[in-house]
Amino acid sequence: MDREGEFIKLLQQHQGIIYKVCRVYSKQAEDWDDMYQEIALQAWKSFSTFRGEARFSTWLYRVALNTAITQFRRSKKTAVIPEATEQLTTPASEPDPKEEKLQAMYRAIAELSEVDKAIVLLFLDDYPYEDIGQMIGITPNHVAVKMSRIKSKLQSLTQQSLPK
Amino acid sequence: MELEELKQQMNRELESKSDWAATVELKEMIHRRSGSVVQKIRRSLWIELMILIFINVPLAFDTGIRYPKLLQLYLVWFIFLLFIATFPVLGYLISKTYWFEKQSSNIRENLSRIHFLIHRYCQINMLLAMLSAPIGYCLGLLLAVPPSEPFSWQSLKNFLFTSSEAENWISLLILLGILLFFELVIYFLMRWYLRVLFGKYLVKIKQLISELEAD
Repeated sequence: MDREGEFIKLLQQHQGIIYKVCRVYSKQAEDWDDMYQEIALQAWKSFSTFRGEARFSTWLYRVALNTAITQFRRSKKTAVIPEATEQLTTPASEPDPKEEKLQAMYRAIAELSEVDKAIVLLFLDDYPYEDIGQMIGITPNHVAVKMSRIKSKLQSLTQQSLPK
Repeated sequence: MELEELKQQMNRELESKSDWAATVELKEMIHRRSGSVVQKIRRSLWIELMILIFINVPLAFDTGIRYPKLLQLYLVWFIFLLFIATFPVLGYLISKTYWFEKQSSNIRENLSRIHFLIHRYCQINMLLAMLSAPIGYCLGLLLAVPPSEPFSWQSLKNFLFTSSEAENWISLLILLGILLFFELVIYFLMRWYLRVLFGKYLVKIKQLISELEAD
């Protein structure tokens, strides 16, 4: 199999990573496709550096997060469409408290800084602090401190946005 | 709602998702034009390099044939200095953009590299713009000498300073004042333009780097 074919096969198996990153980092509906494509493109451009020392998923996470964090957006004055969060909402006559909590959590994550979002994503994917530290470029202790702050921030943001 | 619940929800969502991009779509994606900041800077750098070549090479040939000695000397030096000052820097930055793109470094390193690239890009553009004012101004003065007169230092001097010594100084000060005015206008215009282009983005990158360096 040629290099491109090998890459496409791997990418197809790990599309979930790109999906998760886009879900957390896309602010507008139109951003989603652009980001998805840009991550795939950047991954392909740097695929020559992937030597199989790390898992492909870890490597792809690194590329995807770098692309999402440094994405260059022209300042457009369009309204923020929380498509990613609305996607899960089912039009029910009575709001499901669990669903509401989930939406509140997504809204809270959207409020975090770009770096904190990356830490949350990696944490949700069960990466140990050491790996998260390596991907972000900080020490595992620093990750632990940040994670504890993120958790309390998310808690307070979630409570604020939930109807009393 | 705990993060654990969110994790489960995300996993359920992924499992139930069926409309993943197909092989053909992924193939198309990886061959499209990139919208990354590195790519945008590279495109601009290539355009600047091409403009420099397309303006200066014909000018250099033309200079050797047509212009009077004094103007020839000025233009030859101008072209030479412009090439020396800009070619290596533009070439270096372009090669950096290719190198950056092939790296899969950690987020902190990547942010620092992008910051470095944009910072250097802004610097070189500011320098080019600031240099263009005195060069263009002097060229304008040289070209303003009436064509009826032989082109020499003396004819230039006669054209610029025609009166007494004291008035010559005033003329010189006015000329320098105009140059300074042009420099200031170019400086503020360029600063505004670069801020519109990368201002907010650079601030964001800087904030993220400081966030990672804190604690």
